Amino acid sequence: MKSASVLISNLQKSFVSLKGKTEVLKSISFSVRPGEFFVLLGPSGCGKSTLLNCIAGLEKPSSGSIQIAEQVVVDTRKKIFVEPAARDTAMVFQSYALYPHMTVHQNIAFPLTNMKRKYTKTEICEKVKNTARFLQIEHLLERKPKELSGGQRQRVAIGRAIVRQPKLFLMDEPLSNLDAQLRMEMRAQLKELQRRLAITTIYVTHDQMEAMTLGDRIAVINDGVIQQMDKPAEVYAHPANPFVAGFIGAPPMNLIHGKLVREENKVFLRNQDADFILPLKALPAESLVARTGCIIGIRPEDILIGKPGEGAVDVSVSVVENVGSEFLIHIFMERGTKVTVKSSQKPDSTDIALIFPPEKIHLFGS
Amino acid sequence: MVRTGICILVLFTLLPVVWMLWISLVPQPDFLFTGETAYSLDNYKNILTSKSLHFIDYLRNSLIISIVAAGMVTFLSSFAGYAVSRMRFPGNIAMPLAILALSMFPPISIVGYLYRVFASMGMLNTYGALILPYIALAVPLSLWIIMSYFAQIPRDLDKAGFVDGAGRYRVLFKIILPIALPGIFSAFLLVFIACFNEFLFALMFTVDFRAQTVPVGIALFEGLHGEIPWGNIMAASAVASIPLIALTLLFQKYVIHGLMTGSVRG
Repeated sequence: MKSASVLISNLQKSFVSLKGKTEVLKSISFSVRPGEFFVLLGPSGCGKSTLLNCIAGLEKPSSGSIQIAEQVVVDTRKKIFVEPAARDTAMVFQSYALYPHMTVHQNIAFPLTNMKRKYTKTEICEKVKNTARFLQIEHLLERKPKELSGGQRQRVAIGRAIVRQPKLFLMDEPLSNLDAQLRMEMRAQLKELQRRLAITTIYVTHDQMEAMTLGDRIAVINDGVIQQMDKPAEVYAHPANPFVAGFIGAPPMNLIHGKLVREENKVFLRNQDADFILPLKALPAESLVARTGCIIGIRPEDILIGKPGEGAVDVSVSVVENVGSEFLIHIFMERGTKVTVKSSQKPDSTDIALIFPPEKIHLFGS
Repeated sequence: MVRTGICILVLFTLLPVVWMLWISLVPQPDFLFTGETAYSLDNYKNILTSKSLHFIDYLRNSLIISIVAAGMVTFLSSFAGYAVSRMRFPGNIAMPLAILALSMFPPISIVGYLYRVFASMGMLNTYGALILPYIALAVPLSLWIIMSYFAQIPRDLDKAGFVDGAGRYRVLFKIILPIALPGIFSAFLLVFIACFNEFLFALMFTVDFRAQTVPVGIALFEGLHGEIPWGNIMAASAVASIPLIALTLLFQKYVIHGLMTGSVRG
């Protein structure tokens, strides 16, 4: 199958209503390589679906440009706007958007009936059957969408997307409506499908687990701005800011607010609850200057447990959750500081010390 | 208690109908006084065969006018409802509200002006004199029914259609309208019933059997010596109800589906 590169330049989108102007996308720029599985990750309302709709041609951006392969599909300065039908893209929606009055066969065939190149009925039938066979839904062709399960509907939606061999796949949270187990199965199948078809895919999700497992690269979006864009492992290991740090990871990274204080040869993060001793070699030289505000980030699985006096801070365990293969140890301090530790062992006592390995500490300005 | 209430309600609703049928089957309407209860179909034979009564003409006129008016109204409302519910343009909120506000004018306030207009155009006693005002009066009702129904259809279906390569018209005819059929049938049926039963305009704008409709025709039934032929009137009313009942039974599943769709979140 053909696949295309995508180039987004300074894309902005605002909505005007009676309440005023809402800027949903603020100067977004990025590119996607041919055949890449690119994930847009962010919380609800961050603008990721609006961005996808702009790429698909379902929304007109307020300014900026979009190029798919060699074709400029949007350029607000040159007043170029190519209709969705002419962009050679396919989209899978969160609700699947299957046409309820059509059979599975008719749903998959529908894009072929709209193409400029007119296929005969026999050709359409053959293409639909080949697609159904590929997705293992051949036995469902005469059913209506209401007679299908969630997973089957999703396959039909994917079938409708791939039948005309588009150069770009757009997926808007296609796994959200599935239960947890089915979601896990479909995630793997989706990745395998994209790999086999080698088609450029832009995938939108709010689930960081989906993003981490599916994406070749992730763009984390918040408030219409890309916070960080990199490979999943890089985003996980080196989050660019507290938002990315707190959004990626389950449970999320511990973010401890405080003031960086240097006394003698020791550096503390001091807040209303405690002084967290930080190892000097964890901190870059420029950050050793005392700051009025600072955030320390450390992932739950990176924190070690020791005896009181051995670590960064002595604490009392509040709650221990047994999640099967490991324990989640929650510490709720008196004045609001919360820390979560993920450990394979349950602590022997409620009074423990938290040890922060220097290479695992992330320092952010507040 | 509930069953008693339902029984009372059913009796209350059906009693006039039963009474109408009873009167239509007896030769004399004062049978309760005379005691003559020999049932027959003479009244029905009378209205269906008597040329002087012109009942068949009235029925034909009513059916043609109601079907044409309901069809035109539904056609216009479908396009307007889709545009208002799916497309953004200046006035897409104000327009249906304005249509609704204008429809609140009581028909009797405009009947005189309409009479003069149709008279000057030579349209009195024609189908056009009834079809055109019926369309104008029924579009607000139909528009709001169809608009509400379109609003229940997920917009993702339109988007999917566009991305699948269909233009606006193809999305409307191939995707949205087939899904909206129950709502459209509901609107058609309601408008048909309203046009079929309309009396004021039919009385004012028609003169004789060439354009008069069933309600006016029945109201003008007269006996040989000026008495009111109740038997004929009731028989005519019973026969006139048949198209309405038949259409309702034929389309009831669509009507119920159309009316219930808005009450349950999909």
